[in-house]
Amino acid sequence: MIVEAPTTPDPAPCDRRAAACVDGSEDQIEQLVLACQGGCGESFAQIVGLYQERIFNYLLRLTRSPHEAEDLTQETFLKAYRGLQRYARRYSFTTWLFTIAKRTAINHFRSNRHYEALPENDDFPSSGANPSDELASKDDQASLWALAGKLPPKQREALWLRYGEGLSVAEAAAVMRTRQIYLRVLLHRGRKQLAAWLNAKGKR
Amino acid sequence: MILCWFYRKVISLGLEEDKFPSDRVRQHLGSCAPCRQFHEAETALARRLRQEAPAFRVRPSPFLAGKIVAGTRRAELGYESGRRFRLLSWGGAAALAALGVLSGVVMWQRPIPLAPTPAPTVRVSLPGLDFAIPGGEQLLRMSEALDRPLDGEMQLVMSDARMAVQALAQSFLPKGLE
Repeated sequence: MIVEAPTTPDPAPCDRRAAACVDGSEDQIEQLVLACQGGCGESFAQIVGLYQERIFNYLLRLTRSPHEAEDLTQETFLKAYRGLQRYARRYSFTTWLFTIAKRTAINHFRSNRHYEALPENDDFPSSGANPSDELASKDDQASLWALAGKLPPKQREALWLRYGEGLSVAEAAAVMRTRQIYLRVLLHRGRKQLAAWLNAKGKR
Repeated sequence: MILCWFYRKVISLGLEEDKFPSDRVRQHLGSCAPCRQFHEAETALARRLRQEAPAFRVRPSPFLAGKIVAGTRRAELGYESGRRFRLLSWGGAAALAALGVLSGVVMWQRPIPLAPTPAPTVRVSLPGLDFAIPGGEQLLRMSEALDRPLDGEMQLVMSDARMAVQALAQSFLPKGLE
């Protein structure tokens, strides 16, 4: 006798998409975004889980304050949530989200008068104003990035986007709102300076 | 040396393409040891930056994700209440506009008022005086009647003046010019 297994009804589209997307590939992220645009809150929660640490670390490189970085991370995701319907896939979702984070940081520095404005030039506040304990311990473990923290802010930001976050040259240039050739120049200068410091320290 | 400087620029800028240098650059690397060392050092540096980045990451607060999601839900509710408020304000504005249009139509359609009726006459009786205080047209007629004696006096004065001029003319002007 053949007993048919009881059929369960198909889960709601939101649940199915929310359960499928866990490894963070671009295709699956696009599926999550589509689900969010359709009103699926669980999908947005998954996006937050995938990107919160990356956005936090990027903003930490810009603000050098964990508390500010957390606040700006919340603000970034809030803006992304509100503007999700306007996401047009001209860039990848990663690029779009990082661009929002960059703009949020710039607006934050413009509105806080006791800070200097986040630059379009290299006049960033000096490094290590109030480093967190975790940052200090990270310096011991990864001296190369500790050295990179002393670079001018645009070079530091370019290196982090390219090598820390793994964005392509085109994506990093879009986030920094600059041309690709200029981004390559920033990376070249950053590496050149790091190499000079490493040679001087004798660690190469 | 100038060529090496140029090739190193090309190698460094081309490094970001994540592809092997062009044939010409590769050919130069095969013959120039310093440039070859430079290329290897640049590649190693980029690789080291990528490898050491995860150790340099800082973990955010474990509550951050929850705060973000809660914030988006609050924003959603706030947007909905804002939308309700906007709907109410638009509805109120529409109601006021309709009321204004209706008032305009009513005012436009109202009948033209008729000429006022004359006030009734009040009679006054005083010692030696007995007259009635008229309203409207009666007052006008009364004022015309008051003006009539003055007109009569003026006419008398004019006729006297005419007679005086004629007498003077007969007395002093030569015949034919009177």
